[in-house]
Amino acid sequence: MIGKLILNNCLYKPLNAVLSIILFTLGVGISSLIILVEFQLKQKLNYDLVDIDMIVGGKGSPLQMVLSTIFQVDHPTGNIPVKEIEKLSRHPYVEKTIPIAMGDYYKESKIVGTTIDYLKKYHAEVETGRINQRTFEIVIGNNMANRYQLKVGMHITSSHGNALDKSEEHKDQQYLITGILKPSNSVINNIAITSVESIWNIHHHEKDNKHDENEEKQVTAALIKFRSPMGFMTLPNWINQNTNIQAAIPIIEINKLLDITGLGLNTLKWVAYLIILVALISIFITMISRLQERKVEIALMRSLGASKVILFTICIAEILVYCAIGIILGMLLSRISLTYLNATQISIPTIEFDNWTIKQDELIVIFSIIGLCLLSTIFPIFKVYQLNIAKTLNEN
Amino acid sequence: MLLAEDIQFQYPNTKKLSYPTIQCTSKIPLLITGESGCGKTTLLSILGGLITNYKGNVMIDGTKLSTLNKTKLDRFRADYIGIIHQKPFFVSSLNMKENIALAAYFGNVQEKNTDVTKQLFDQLKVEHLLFKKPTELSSGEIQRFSIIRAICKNAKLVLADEPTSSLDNQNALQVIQLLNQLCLDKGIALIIVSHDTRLTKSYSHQINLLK
Repeated sequence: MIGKLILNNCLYKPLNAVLSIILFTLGVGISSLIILVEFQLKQKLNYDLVDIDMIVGGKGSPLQMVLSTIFQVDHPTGNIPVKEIEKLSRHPYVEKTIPIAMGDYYKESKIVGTTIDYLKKYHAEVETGRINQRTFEIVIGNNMANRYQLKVGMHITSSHGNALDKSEEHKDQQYLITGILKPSNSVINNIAITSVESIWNIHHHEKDNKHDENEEKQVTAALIKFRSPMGFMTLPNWINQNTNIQAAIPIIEINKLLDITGLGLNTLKWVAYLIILVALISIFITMISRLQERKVEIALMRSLGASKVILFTICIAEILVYCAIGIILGMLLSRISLTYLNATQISIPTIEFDNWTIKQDELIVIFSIIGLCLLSTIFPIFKVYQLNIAKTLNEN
Repeated sequence: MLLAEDIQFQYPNTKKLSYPTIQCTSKIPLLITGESGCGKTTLLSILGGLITNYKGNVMIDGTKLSTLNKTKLDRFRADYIGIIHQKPFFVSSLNMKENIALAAYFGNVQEKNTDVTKQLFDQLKVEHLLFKKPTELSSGEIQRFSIIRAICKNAKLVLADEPTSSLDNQNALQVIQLLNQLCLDKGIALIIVSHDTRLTKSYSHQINLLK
């Protein structure tokens, strides 16, 4: 019976209720969306950074080098001689080096020339076909294959630079697709992978009539894993000061980036908290005005034998119903928005958000809202406690 | 059933109200009359345990009200006393059936008494109004529901404050006859306070309060 009373009271003035719920939904939705994006961005970045202690590449912006080499979201800073990487791989502090040759595209997706170690690093497995073994064989990331309807056995033509520019196409030599990779949440989902030799051969073939035969072999960058923490301490500085190539520690560059984007996200978060506060004030005002209207009903229920505890419970439950509906709708809103972000690729193309679990920071927001809702019931409860039944009933 | 002796009460900055001894049993209903401002409604509030800071003793079914703390008084009122207010109040978000069910819920009425409530709906001819909201009913219709609400919870004492003040002659007579009959049938003590002269002929036991 009490449940029915609470529900009916909540629905009695639906417009006020709807306004409060919309405000709650927006506040919770925005703050939850920011938390999810922030959390999953960090998770995703950390996943792609596994086993990459340092990157070496052409001189330029270290952040640009990290973004282009690891996340495939920017242009490379330039090329470096292979012999420099070979020299580095013999260094006692270095455990592994993975060369990366970039610059070619299929349509809008990048083709990366690398070694089998690159695929192993991301635990890549083929869904159909096999891993590329010979020159001009290529494997395609699952998302890229779906995007361009690519199948094993098909031939594709790469282009240098942005694929939309047809004049740069490498028409003389095509790639044979030998495998499509299984879907994954890493960067390889959206790129094509071939051997470094394939990239060299395509470019060498084109340069036959233009350049010196003896030009030294180059790659775009190399991913390096240290054998010892001493590598962090000494190698980046030594490389940057004594060689013509550039070294960067990805985690440092990414943290700098997150610090910058974090400012924007924090501002948005505060906007969301402000909306939640407005929602609380709106509910508080609704409760106070309803209490004024329902003073007689409360006095009546007291005269019928309802204890103060029951009436307090009704007051608290009514606020919590609005709050719960707002929280549920807000959480749904953030998840649906995230799904929309994925579907429309508004986010960074190689980053996908697919996590529906509730994050710890979201729980903090939810419990803070519930706490504030309970706090806002203190005044109505005080009013109910103070109510003079006889006076209220007789005056009305 | 009810005995109230030496009752005195004073609102701030007003003259003290003193009441004669009031006695009532389930066999003979009591009508308390008096001019406006003589303290009729205040007396009813004291007898119903809604006002507690009075002097004197109120004894209902062997229980002295002044010995009960607030929680016990709430429970006692829910179990023993049905109140019919001058202006019938109902919870606006609930329909009439739910309003009656709410009173029964607060009065701890057991499932077996549902039959009694159904019988009351039938007797007072309100079955077609059960799913209407309080604002959709006329004064006469809503007063009938007030009677049902006061009686359905097995009250031992019903206190009615000007139950006919907003009713026309025909409705007033019907309502008062129903109230008297139901209380007599169920062995409920009935006290009515009213300045409605139409009621004086219907009650043999009357107390007239002086201003």
